[in-house]
Amino acid sequence: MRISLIFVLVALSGCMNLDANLLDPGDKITSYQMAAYTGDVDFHLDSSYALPMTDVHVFTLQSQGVGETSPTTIYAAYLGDTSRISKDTVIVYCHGHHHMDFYYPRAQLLANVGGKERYGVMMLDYRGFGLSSGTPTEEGLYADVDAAVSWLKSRGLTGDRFVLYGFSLGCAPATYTAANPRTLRAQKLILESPFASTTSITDDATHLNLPASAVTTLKLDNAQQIKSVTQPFFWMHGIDDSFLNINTNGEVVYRNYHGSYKEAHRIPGADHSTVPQTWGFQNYSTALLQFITR
Amino acid sequence: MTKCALLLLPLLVACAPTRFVEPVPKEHINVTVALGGPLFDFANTTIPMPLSSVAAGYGLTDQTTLFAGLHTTALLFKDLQLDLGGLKEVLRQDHLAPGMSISPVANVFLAMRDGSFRVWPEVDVNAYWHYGKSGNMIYLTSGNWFELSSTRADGEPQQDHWIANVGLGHRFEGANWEYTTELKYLALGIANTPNAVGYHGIGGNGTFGIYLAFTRKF
Repeated sequence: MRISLIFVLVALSGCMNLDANLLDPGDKITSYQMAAYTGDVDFHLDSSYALPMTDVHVFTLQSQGVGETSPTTIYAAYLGDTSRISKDTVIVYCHGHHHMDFYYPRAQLLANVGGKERYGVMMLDYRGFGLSSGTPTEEGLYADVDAAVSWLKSRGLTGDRFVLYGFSLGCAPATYTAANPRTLRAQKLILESPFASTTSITDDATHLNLPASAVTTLKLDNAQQIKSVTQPFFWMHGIDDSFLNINTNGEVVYRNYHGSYKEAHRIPGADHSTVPQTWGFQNYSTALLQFITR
Repeated sequence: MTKCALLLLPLLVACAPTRFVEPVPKEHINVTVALGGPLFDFANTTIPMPLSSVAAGYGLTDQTTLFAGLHTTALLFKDLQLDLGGLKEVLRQDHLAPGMSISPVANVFLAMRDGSFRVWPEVDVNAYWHYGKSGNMIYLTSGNWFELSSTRADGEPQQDHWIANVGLGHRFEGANWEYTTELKYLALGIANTPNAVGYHGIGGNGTFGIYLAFTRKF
């Protein structure tokens, strides 16, 4: 009886966690459509933001994380003239859940900051997202962003023209890469609607001081990583974010930054995914331009 | 991130129905299997979290019960979560005047992944009425969890030190079995948004929870 009970307890123990839920890649696609994508997106831009399709490049990269024995094939997209990577400033956009088609309007908006294609924009689908192969992992997020940075560096990008931008889940690889550069040190960091850590999400959900290790092996610790970021930092967050409490997430990340320069934009009326459209595309673009060029 | 992505991130205060409302008779043992949890959004619908637990209570006297509960869903997440407590009857039911009991509980939590350990004290106060020849019972319960830590995630100040729940339950009484249904209102007065989990409360506060419990009497 005692042995049976122990067996049942051991058998029940430890076979579940929320890692897959926290790194949920969202819906599946069969091909990349970019501007022609007709599925749900956060917002649509009018035709004045359109980019020549010759300047939208979708391609694959090989990404190999620390401790991995073989590379994973992931998809990336570059918006802009690839021959100018050695001269242009490039924004590496680390998106949230979903895939690059979903985020194309956001990347397109960035490609219009300061004028059409003033900045090149690179985005990628982390492993397991979109058409990228593999399974999402925390190390995979970091390795995949670094693979994109390596590709840019091999085409002449230098650190002084490299800006990292993270949105929601993408704030984790953006912040980590700014704090722990593997290939190239970013010049500036932009975060939109960041979470503080998996512990913060857990505590918000339970109202208790519950360790994140209760439900996940992931750290995704922006609140800690931001302490190692010294580059200039731009933070924006919707005051009415119904998903991530601005006070227990974005404000914590902003407060924990102790680098050379920081600016905060708390957007009234904006929810988790509606900062650009609620702020206004023009205001959003102007603020980003001022930060990048300062 | 999407709300439905965060399945099974429960309010811990909602992991189980009220364990024992009235004392177990002296030297008797009751064993309970419970299922249910707070209502939340999942896959475009609203369901109670499928949290499960087992508990056993022993009648130390006719007025005092000791009990222990094990949260089996937590085990699936590699967490050892126990509730260890006692129940004392302070008033016996007298016609329409309800029986009353008080139940101090220690909610013990060990995350086996990294050894993180927590204890949350809890005090429940219950009022109950048996009715009819069958001895079925209706009860009201007030559960009170206390977060003693002064900090929460990322070293930030802990905002919620008292988490109150109220519940209405009904117990069908059989010769050897009891069947209990309970409706709780959890985290009374605490905003349920912003939150990664889509809870369902009133006026943006708390959330409802639904529970079933099956008890074998020995």
